[in-house]
Amino acid sequence: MRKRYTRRQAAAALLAAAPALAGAPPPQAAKSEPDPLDRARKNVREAAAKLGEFPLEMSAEPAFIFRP
Amino acid sequence: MAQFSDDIFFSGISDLNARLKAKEFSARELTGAFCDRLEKLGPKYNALALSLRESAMRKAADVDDDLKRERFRGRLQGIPFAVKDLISVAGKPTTWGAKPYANQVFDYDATIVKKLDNAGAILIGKLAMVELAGGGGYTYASASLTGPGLNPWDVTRWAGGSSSGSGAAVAAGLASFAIGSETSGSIITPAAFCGVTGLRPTYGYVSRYGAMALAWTMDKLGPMCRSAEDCGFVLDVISGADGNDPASAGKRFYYAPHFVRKFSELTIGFAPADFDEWTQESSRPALKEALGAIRALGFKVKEVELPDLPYGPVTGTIVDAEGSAVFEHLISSGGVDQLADKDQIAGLKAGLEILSKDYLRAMRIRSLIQNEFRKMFVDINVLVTPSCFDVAPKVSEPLNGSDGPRSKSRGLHDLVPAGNLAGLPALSLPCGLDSGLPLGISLVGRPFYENTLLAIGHEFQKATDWHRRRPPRTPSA
Repeated sequence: MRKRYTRRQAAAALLAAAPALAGAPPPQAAKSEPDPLDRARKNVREAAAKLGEFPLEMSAEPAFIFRP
Repeated sequence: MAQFSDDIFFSGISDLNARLKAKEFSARELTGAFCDRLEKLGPKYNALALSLRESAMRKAADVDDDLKRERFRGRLQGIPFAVKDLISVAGKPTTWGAKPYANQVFDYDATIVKKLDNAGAILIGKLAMVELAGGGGYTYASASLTGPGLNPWDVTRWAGGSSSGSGAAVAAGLASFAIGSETSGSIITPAAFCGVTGLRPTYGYVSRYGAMALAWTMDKLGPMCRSAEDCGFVLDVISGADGNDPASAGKRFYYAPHFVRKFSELTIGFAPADFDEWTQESSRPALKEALGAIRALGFKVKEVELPDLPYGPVTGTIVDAEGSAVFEHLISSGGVDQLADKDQIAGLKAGLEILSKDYLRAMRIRSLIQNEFRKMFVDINVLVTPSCFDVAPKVSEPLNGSDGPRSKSRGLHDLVPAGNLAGLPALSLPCGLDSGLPLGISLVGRPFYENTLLAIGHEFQKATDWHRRRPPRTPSA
């Protein structure tokens, strides 16, 4: 049995199908890449945190002399 | 006019020098042939920064005059070579591989250039490099004024960095030897990827006066050659005290491999995990065979691993802090934004924000690293490990594409940053192929132990022929 549509129902169905008819999903917000500077700052913070975890005695002086 | 076969471009320094002295060909003929090749093939690998044909031919004429009068100046006399473009040559552009410095010209020669000139070596060109030697950290091989350094063994692969042009030029026979620089890996990596022999000298052995600074407390200059023996000849000339370099150790290197202790009295240290786990699976057979060839020279062997210390964060903090201080004006003026690699730009900017307490903490941990090596070298004379754990990556892919740790054992995996932090010498030797791409094995010793490393390298190269292999697709000039 053929279903009968009112003009209003037909218009609503057409609007709902519009994205599918266009052959593409509705655009979504692009996943944002982290800013390189933010990433670099994060690397600096992480390196500092790792260095901070390392126990050092007061007698450990900076390596300013490299001649063995 | 001498007609040269391709073999001449892959000859060792001794052989070339002997043939010059025997007048088989003149220095002008040899230099002209190398210049033709460098100018024709260098751009194919993005290896050439600047040809110096004119001054090279003048120098070659002087060498011919000296040879005619039997004024011999040693093995490097008449040998065509090239330098990484962070080394100044008076009156010629020195770009540091970076756009903001594309027109930079110094009015003096670097000490290393003067020393080689005095020895009669002939500078034929300047070689491409990663911009600012990679200070700040880079993600793509294209981080260079001259484009990505292409590997003569496969031009879809990277030549390594930051001495990309130096590695490619020696591999393709565009120069008899080249000078590279290393802060952390920049000689060893391209030497391994390009299948050439690279020597990172002890910190302070070779003057850096006239060379770009990246990290004052870590920078070294060194030779990239066809063999360990050639590295010895070059280091003999370029080492020595220099009042212009505050880090100069005040020592001169004399190449004397025959005075090295008997190998049976020496102990080499290696970590099985380096060869069984850390190395890419397809490279393991060749690297294990190379390790076997070294062991067969008669050493005592001992298994070792590096102490558990934060080598990566220490190196990163020191290089970033010093590098950003070196280039502070470039960063604050906005010139840094002209660099090719976004991550390098960001890394240099972020490096200015490193706190002094963190830099000092890194330098204090560095002291402990030096002490640990001193202890390790009481029982062990030389450490042996793969130069790189992977073959040269594709130029189109990010260089940081790590798939995470491959082993739970530390092994000697961090020996490149650790050895650089401690100022240790290292020699990378070609030792096999994986899918047609070169592999390298490294020898690392205590400071000023170059003669032992070179003697082992020479004996290894007498027993193998990997250093004589040439890229299969190298076109003729």
